[in-house]
Amino acid sequence: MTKATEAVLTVFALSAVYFALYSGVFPTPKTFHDEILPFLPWWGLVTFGAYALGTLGWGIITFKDKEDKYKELLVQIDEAKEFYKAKGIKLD
Amino acid sequence: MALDKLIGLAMLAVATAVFAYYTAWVFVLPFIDESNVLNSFFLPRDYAIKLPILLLLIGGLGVGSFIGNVLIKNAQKEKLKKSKKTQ
Repeated sequence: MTKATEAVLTVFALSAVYFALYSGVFPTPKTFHDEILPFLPWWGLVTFGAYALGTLGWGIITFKDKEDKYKELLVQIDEAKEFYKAKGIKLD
Repeated sequence: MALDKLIGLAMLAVATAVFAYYTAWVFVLPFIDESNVLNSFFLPRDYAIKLPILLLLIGGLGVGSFIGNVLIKNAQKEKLKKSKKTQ
């Protein structure tokens, strides 16, 4: 199955478990149900945001400079700009 | 340290701090007494829902305004080009 199908299935399964717990079909301790369950989706969202930001920061910290690849990239950018100018597309 | 490495470190620090604070807010606070000194570090718990919602709305506003800005700029450029062509 595709990544999209897999993602949708995961979200659906997690939501099903969450709503089952929230509706009280299964008996859960009172503190858990009233104090923690309503906050779980938001905690998931905050954790995902923190994970994304942290991974970006870590990637920036551990990035190794590659001088020759940088020069190669500049040459490729100039080639691409020439190509698009020849085709008539304006670039700023 | 170079400036970009410092920015990366700042991003990592902010991410860790936000995660630790919010996890403690949601999972630790319900189980400690009213009188515990830890309570003084945390806002009332309903803000744990209001703050993410507010930030989501502000983020959505920011993204929407950026997209709108780019679209308007493109439309203006098109109009400028068309008026120049017909001249």
